Amino acid sequence: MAEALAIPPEAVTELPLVSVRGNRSVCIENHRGIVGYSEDCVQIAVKRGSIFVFGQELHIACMSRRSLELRGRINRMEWEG
Amino acid sequence: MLKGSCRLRLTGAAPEDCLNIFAQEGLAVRDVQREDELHYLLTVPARQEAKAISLAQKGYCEAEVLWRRGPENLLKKGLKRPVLLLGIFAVLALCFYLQSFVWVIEIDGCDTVEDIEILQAMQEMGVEIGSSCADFDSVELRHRLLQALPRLSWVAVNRTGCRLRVLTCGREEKEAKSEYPAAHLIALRDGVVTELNVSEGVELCKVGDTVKAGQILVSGLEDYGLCLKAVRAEGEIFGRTWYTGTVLRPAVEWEKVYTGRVFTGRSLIIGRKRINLSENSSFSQVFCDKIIDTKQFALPGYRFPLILETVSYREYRLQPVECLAEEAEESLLSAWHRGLQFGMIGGTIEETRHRCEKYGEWYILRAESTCKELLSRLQPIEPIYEGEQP
Repeated sequence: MAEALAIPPEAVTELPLVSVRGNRSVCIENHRGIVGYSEDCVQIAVKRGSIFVFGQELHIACMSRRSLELRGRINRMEWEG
Repeated sequence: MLKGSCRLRLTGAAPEDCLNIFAQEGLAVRDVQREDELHYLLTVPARQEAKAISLAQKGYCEAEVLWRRGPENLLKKGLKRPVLLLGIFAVLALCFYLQSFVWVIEIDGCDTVEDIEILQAMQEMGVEIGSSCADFDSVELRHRLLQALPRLSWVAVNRTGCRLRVLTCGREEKEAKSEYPAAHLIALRDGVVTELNVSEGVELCKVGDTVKAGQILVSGLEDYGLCLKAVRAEGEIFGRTWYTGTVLRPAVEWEKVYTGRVFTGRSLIIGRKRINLSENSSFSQVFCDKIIDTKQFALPGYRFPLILETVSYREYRLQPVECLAEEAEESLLSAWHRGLQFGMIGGTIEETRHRCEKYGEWYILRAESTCKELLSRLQPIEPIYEGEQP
C-alpha cells in the first residue's frame, strides 16, 4: 500500500532507517531504545530485532524519541532479527 | 546555545534504561558519554533539567548536575559580580554611543578631484572625523558636495556605523573646442569704436568709426591673392554706445505690519498618514506668514517614519506706505543701471542723465546712458560651395 502511494515504508511501518556517514557517524531512525552501551559496541533495539554497531570511542551524539545518532570510529554493523 | 544547557551525570544500575525513558518522554539528550557501567554523562536543555532529574529517578538512577551554561546562568553569575556587569554595560553603551560619530572617512572614485579637496569641502560643511552623524544628512551632504565641487558629476555618501564612505565620479573635462571653425567678428549694436585689439582676421574698421549692429568688424576671410582662407576672427573691440529708456514704480507700496498674533498647529506624520494634533486650525491664512518646522524621531543610524510638524502662522496686515521722491529716484536709477549691466557682455556705464517725475500713482524715470562696452561677437561663416553665390 505504501509503495502504491509512494510513501516511504519506514514512515508507515516504523521500520528502522539507518544512515551512515563514512565511518564516523550513524543515524538510526525509528529506534526503540538502547539495549547495551559501551565504547566498543552499542546495541539498539528496533522493530523485529536489534542493530549492533561495533567500533571504538563510540558515544551517543543525540538521542530523541525518533532518532539516535552515534559517533565514533565505526568498524561494522550487524542486524539481529 | 541561547536556550542554555545542563550537563548531568547519571548514576545507576542501568543508565541506558534512563536514556530510553528520556527518549520516550520526548526529552532529547546529546553528547552521551559512558564513564563506566554505572555512570553516564549527558547534556539536556537547561529548561528540562528538573524533568530530567525526575525521569532519572523513575529509571532508578540518580542525576547529578555538573554544570549549567546559558544566558540565564551567565546573568546569575554576573549579578554576583555587579562591578564587572556594570563595566560590560558601560562598554556596550559607549560602543553604542560612539557609533553615532564618524570615525573613518573613505573617499573612493575619481582622480580628477583630490581626496583632500573633498575632505576640505566636507569640513566646511561640518562633516569631519568626530562629527556626530545626527548633524548631517547623507542626501543633503551629497547635494552640497556637488554644488561645492562642480568638477564632480556624481557623489554618493553612505554611512555604515561609524564609517562614512564617499563615492565620487569626476566630470570629464573636454578641451574647449572652437564652436565655429571660421567666423567674422560683427558689431553687437550701434556705436563708435574706441579700442581695437585684433589677433586673427582682417580688420575692417578703425578707432573712431561709427558702426551699425551686424556690421562686420573683423573679417574671417583672409585674402592670399589666389585663394581665400577662412579663419576664426579673434579680438576684442570696445566701443561707446548710448541707451535711452524708461523705468517706473508705484508711488504707494504695501508694507507688512505684524499684528503679534501667532497661531501654532501641530501634526504627527506617521508614514504617509497625518494626524492633526491641534483642534482649532480653522482661521484665515490669507494674511499670514507660514513657518514649518519638522522634527523627525531618530536613533543613531535609523530614522523612524515619525515626524512632528509644527506650523506657525504669523498674522500681519498690509499698510500703505508713501514712497519718497528721493528714494524712488534712487531705486529707479539703480534698477536702470542693473538692467544696462545685465544687457552688456562686458563694459561699464560712463555717464547717465536722467529725470524722475511723478505721474499720478507712479514715479517714472527717463534715462540716457553712455557706456563703454564690448561691441563684437562671433558670426560663423557659412561654407560657400562652387557655383553658389555668397
